[in-house]
Amino acid sequence: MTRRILVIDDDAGVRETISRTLDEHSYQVITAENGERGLSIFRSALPDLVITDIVMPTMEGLQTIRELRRLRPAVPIIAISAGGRGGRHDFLEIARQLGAWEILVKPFDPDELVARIASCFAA
Amino acid sequence: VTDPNSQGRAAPWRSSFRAHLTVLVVAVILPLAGLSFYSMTRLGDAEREMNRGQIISTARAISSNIDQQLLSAERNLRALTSTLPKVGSSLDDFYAHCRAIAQENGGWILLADPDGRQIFNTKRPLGTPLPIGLFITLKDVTELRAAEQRQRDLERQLQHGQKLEALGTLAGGIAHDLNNTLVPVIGLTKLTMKRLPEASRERANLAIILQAGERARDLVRQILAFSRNEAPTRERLDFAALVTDTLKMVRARIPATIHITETIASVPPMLGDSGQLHQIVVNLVVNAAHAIGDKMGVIAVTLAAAVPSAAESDGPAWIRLSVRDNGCGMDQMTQHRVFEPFFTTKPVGEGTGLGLSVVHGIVVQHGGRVCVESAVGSGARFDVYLPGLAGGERAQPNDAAEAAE
Repeated sequence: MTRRILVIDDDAGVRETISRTLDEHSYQVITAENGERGLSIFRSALPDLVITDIVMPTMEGLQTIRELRRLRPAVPIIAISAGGRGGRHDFLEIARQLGAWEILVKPFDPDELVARIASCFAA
Repeated sequence: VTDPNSQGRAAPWRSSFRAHLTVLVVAVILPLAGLSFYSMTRLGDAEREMNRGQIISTARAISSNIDQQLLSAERNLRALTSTLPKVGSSLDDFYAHCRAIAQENGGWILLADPDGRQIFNTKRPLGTPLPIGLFITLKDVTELRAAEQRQRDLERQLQHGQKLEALGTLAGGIAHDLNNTLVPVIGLTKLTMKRLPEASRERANLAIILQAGERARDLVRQILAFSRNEAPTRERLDFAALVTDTLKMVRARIPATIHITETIASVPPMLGDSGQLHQIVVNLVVNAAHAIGDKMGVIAVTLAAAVPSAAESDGPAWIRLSVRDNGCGMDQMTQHRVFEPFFTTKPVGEGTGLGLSVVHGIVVQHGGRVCVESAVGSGARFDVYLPGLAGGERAQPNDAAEAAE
């Protein structure tokens, strides 16, 4: 069965890159450009995994993660961010505390992303 | 008071006119000067000596005729100039004696006396409408100038801090967008490379793009490290071990023509962000290597317990990391700007101007400070001071537990 992955990111280049990468690994990809739209798709399309950015307009990623967890806690979430790590504003660390299974810093190696997805599904 | 040198140089009528005016003015001035002199001499010599700083900060008056020959000089002028100028001697000689050092500007002259004190000098014409002489006051402004300098230094530090903060915010925003932009550059290049034959020209082209993308990614990481203004994570660590490990790693990045010497003493433990502290060592050593360039050279890395200044010897323990090189060195202007982000002396494309500003940012975030000593052609020495954990502060298990989380 083809796994369905929802990608939420306000950057079109990032959405496109992830789509093309996952397409090569036979995943079905649905994309959304902000958290609000992502949640709406999440409710209707019932994806098996969500990859979400953190810093986004309309609904930012941390709030999106809280909502995703509330709606379907068992769905793995991978948080991605282009911001720096460390300090009080380490959003990826906060995302992990909110329930993200994996975190990845942009720009990431596509193989690394695929490996993290596989590990989520293997768990 | 006589005016011997003016005889024969001016026309007889002018000389006579001037002599009369001089006598008139001196007759007026001397009682006034005498009054001021009286107030000065009320203090005994011993007391005056004790209060030298106070006394010499009082204005001292001398008067001269229009040919700038001294008509009178207060005895206490000695406190400023070490010798009393002779009545009848020329002002030029007096100024030469005082070693005039600075600019003359609209009648204001800054002098420095033999023991290095700064003296402010004002000249006012005597007599209106026809000037017949000069009334000169001298004031010791050494303390005032020192206070002004301290004020300027503080303002410069404040401006530097504000500039770094503004640039940090700007750089953080740009770095975030650049990281997003680099996702397809790196991601899709890698993806496409996999589909191309190993030895193909297209794959080799993409490899170059990938390399450039990865270089940009590393650069952005540096910018983000610099722009991070929050307190670093704090874990208890042994800085000596961290420096030793980092030097092992960084050696591979330094040309074989450069020798690194290590003098690592055991230092007090400290709380810090090991990743960031590692970055300090790397940046300082790489910077030193760049200063040496292609020549043979030595980078001396020294770690010891040392206080930044004598005033802090009673405070908590301090750790000093010194990185000294025998490279090209820096002039004063470069030293002032060396920690500014994007300031670089390297050719365009070879330096980012971020390495040392990252060092500065990290050190300040750790509650430390960094200073530089250098001269053109004589290498440079960077001293990083970081606060260590003193005996009393060490016994706080809660802090350590929190830091470890």
